[in-house]
Amino acid sequence: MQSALQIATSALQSNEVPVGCVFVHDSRIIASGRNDTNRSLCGTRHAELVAIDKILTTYPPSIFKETDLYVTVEPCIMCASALRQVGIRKVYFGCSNDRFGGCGGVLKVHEGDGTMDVSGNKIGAGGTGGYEVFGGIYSSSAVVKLREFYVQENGRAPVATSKKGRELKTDNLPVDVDVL
Amino acid sequence: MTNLPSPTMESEQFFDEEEEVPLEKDSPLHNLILLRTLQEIKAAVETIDVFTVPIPSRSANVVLSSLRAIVPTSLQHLRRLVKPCYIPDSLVDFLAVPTTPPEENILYLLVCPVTDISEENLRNFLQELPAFSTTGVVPRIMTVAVPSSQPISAVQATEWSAKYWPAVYKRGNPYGPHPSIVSQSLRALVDPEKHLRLAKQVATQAASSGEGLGFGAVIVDPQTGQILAAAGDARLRCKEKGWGNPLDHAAMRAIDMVAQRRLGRTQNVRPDNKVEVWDGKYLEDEEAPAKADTKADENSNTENEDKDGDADDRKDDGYLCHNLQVYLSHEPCVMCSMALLHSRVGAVAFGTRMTRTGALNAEEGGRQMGLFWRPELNWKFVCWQWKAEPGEEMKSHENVDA
Ligand SMILES: [Zn+2]
Ligand SMILES: [Zn+2]
Repeated sequence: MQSALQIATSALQSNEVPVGCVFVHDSRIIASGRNDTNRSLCGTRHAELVAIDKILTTYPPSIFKETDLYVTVEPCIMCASALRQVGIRKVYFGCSNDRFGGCGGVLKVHEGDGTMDVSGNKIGAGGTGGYEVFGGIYSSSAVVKLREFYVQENGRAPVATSKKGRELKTDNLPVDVDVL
Repeated sequence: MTNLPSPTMESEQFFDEEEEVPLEKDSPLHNLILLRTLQEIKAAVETIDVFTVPIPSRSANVVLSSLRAIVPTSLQHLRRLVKPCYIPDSLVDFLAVPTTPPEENILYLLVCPVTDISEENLRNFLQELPAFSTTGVVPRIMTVAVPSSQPISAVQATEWSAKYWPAVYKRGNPYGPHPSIVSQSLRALVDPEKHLRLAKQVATQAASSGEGLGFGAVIVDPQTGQILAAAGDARLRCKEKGWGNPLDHAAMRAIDMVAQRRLGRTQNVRPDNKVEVWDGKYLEDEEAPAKADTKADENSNTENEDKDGDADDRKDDGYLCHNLQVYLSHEPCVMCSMALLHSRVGAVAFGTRMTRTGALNAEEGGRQMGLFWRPELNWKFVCWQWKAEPGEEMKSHENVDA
């Protein structure tokens, strides 16, 4: 997790939302990734997907079933689904993501059939192959980095239609984190 | 005071009239079925028990203002005072609505949800009011079930008024896109029929080439009418390694393509996975918007962008896929649906519903995730399903994430 935090710091220095991750297989880091949405102009280049791309240049997808992810912020709904689709074994994350989290923050994409919301309303059918998640590891370090970033301000984002103010909130996550 | 409906108005309408200009009869837009949001679906079925009591109409305003002291005003989408003739047929017997106008006119007062006050306390309170104390009549308190949230359209208000309780439709929709946004977005769609056909063509092409499954995506810029990306699924594309990327779904690839256009050729969106740029080859037989660049960027990523400044023509709006239109052969999976939200697209239309894996539809018979419009998420878009003609529906891998 400390490696992931270091990578998050490097993202911060490149004006990216400071989220970093490492994928660990047999106690070895096989890939790292950091958020890359601002540079790439692509809203899907989250740390997890960047690292998955790297892994697949060297290893077949089957490696994921023996691979664990360490990521500084709870994977978003998109990444949580991606991790499920590649068949990740376990996910360890730092702070939770109550705006976009797909591992309990907003939805629980990782468990059951992946359709549950936070209040446990379970609907729909189908789906197999969830994964275990463990949150809250070095959580405050991850949050501090996000705060630093939002002091810098993400100037590229257009004003969303239903945005509430841009002040920093004191709870778990800063506002306007839409690139986690 | 100003919000009180006047109990004496004879022909008051229960809702505002919509000023919608209807679509022309033969418009292909009729094939687009608007998806209802999760909250809209919930709002359509949830009821709440409320107290109602008949009161003399001449003391209606006094009773109302007295009540305000003991129960909060809620349920503003329902008429507070209803004339016997407007009570829905299903309640007439239960409420013992008089068939002939009684000497003294009565109104049915919708008091409040039963959770706000006990029936006994309410009875005691009402009995003290002059409306009842002068005659000694015991207030006849009854419980009825009414819709708990406000109607989302005039049509729904009419239905509710006939079934539950006279309802008020206040222009607007707290549970989904405002009707005027829907109709604006619908009319702003750039030839949805053609672009959905193109999405299906790239889907077919992906499947027949063996590079992916039969799913396709097209992204269109509504400002120029230009196709910015068209991508088929590519999860089976092995390259030299012998395996594919299970996440190379059509929508993800199309989003990458848009970014690669904007980024130009000096940098790669995905350093470890080259992103092609849409070359327009499916348009040969179509009356495509005559954009010179659809041919020019065959080999390099965005050769032409630098020349005609196309890459930056959207200026402030060029953020990600801000307000672009997306046409998909199939309902996208959770990953792709969230990717579209992250990319801030403006409108999505898809062909085949994926009941086991699709994340957009909120209706029963699927995963009911309704990701396109959820209050918790900071971006929302309007979403339709294209109603396929018989035999036109694409066969789908129904257990697979599209
Ligand atoms: Zn993510
Ligand atoms: Zn997908």
